[in-house]
Amino acid sequence: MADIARKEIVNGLRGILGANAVVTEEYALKESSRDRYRKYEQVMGVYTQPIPAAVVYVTNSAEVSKVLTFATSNHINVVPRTGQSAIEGGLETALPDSIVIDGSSMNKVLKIDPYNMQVTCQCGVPLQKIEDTLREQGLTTGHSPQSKPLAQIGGLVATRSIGQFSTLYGGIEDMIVGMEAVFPNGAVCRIKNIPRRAAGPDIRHIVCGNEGAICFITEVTLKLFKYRPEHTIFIGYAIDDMKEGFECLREVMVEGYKPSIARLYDEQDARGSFGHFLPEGACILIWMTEGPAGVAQATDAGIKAIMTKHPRAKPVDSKYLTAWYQHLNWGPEQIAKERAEIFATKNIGITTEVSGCWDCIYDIYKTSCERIVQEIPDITMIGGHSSHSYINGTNMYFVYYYNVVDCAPQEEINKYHNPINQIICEQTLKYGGSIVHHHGLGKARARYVQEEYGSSFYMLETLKKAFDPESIMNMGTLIPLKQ
Amino acid sequence: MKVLICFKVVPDMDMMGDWNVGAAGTIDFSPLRKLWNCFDEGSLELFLKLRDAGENGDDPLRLDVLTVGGAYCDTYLKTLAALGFDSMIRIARDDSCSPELTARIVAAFVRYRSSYDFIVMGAQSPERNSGVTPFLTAEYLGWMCISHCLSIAVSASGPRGAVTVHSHSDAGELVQTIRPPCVFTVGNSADAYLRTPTLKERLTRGAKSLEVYTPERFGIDTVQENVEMHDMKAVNHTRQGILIDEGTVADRVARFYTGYLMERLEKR
Repeated sequence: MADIARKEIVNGLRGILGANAVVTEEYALKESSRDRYRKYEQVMGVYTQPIPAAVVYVTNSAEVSKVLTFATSNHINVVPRTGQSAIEGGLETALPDSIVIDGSSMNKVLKIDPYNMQVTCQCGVPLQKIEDTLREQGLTTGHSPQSKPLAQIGGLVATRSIGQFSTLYGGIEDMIVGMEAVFPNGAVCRIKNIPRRAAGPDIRHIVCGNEGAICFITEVTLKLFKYRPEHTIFIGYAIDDMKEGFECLREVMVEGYKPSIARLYDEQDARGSFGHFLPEGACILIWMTEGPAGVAQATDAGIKAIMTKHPRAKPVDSKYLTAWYQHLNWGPEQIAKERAEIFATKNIGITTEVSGCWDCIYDIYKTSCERIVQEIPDITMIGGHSSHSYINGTNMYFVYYYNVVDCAPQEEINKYHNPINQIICEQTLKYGGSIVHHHGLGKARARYVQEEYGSSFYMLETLKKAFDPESIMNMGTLIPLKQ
Repeated sequence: MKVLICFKVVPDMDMMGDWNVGAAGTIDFSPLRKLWNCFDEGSLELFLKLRDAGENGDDPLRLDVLTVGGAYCDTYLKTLAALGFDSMIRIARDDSCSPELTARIVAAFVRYRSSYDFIVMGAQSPERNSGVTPFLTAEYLGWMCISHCLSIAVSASGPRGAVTVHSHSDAGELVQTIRPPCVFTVGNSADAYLRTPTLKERLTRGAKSLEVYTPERFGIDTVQENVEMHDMKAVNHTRQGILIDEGTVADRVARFYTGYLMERLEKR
């Protein structure tokens, strides 16, 4: 709880940033108390979280430093944000009279450096904007999450984001060169831009994935790659079952191929986007190859050679995959449409992403789906897909829909969403996987953090205590609040 | 009261890029994912709500659904079975039909069954947007047609089997009591989305068998179309625009206001 009253918090912030940068309108505050984890509450216009004292729009690192110092001195919880596309409760203001620090006004692309192949952006640069700019110059960050039309650089790094081309380019942690971040005591720290160094631990990883619970990211430098869409090749196969599908994904990865997209959809999840051409009951495998022409063609040939060992898999015409690929991303229009549909039908769709090694991912998938069907009422769809593969395993992106029946909007999350999350987390932990692949722990899954980390939880807890000794940074995220 | 609700599974036109004209002179929609025609979705939900209201008294409301299309429609028919519709009928046709042929097929089926009081159709579908199929169906059957229906309810004061229909016209909204038979077209229904059945409903009610017929079963010659397409051109949707991007925000607002807005406001 803050040491000073709400009014004093607002006055203090106005003194630091000026009145125009401090928003206290009721609707803006209410909307800033949550993210899309509470999607149903959003749609139904219900607010269950403590309403923040103010939303402040910062324009430089010095302002962030002053706000954080003020918050630390007065024990005020702060929630950093940029593009507001979070879906795991990371942006919820879990404590009364919080300050939401919005970095979206820090939206300058500071330097595009095609010689050293790196780009430096302020935290509020929309990924769509920088990617559009880079692609005009024949370059790309290689980062393309579904949230690209919404997400901004600071939030992407803070949540350890991953994009649709991760199998080739990696997650954002593989793309980061250097950063600037501001800590709760006001310290502004820069990590310089170099190709690699072995001078102690890689401190970029204190910042990357901190989810606003350790520091506020103000600037990021990312690697660049050549953008060559003209070499893109799509490969697809209809396949009878997920077990064989995982095996195909594994064989491609183990043989050393690096397609940019490697995906496997189960029957239920495939129905929406691929049902118009897939045989009934079929799953679908999709790969996309890119890069220099020779590499793209060799990857294409290598994958097709592997698939000849799976005669039951039937090739899919690439025209279907091209059409699908062009409409993968989610922007404001899709969100508005989804909200209208949820409001009208009381049918809501949620996702939960986990990961596991090759020897357990199928068990995680199968047993989670089985338990959800058996234990959760009013389920209308449960399925999922794997969309990010590695040499040693892959992720599973569960997709589930349910009808909200006989339930007040504020009760929905505990009747449906959290119990489903719990089943998926329990099954993932049981088989040795990770309960979070790329959405972040947020507040939704922070309750499982000790089981997720095991004995290494000591390291996470020590980091949090060391950098945020007064417990002001996005409390309840990463580490749950003590009730 | 026995109602036949016709629906169509259509390509998602939001995914449409440049027109890809196929060999037969038609646009190739095959790469696009399929979904409910939004107007049909509204009419299906409208009648489920009518059934929920249970105002039919001793005249049970029988709701049959019909589509003309390929096997890809069966998933949609199974969904409707799970939602409690009574008969799920598909007239098999892999290629897209002209509105005229679709109307002939539907009319022939209705004559074959000879028991429907009302036929309900969406006002239009996105890939052709002709809006004429309901009218042609009514004409083939010799029934009246009420277009742009907003809501349909069992008539409380009218004769048995009649419905009260709110519909839209150029002059305003009409409220009429309609005796069967009639074809309704549903336009801007308040119920834009169809409810979703649970997995348990799919396992129980959704297992109901589908009725699949060929048009030939009803004496329809699908080879000989009465309408032949000769040419098509995309409507040019581009608009002229001026980008005001010089100076400060205040400069731009001032230019917008003095150059484009002030005179219009003064005229009001």
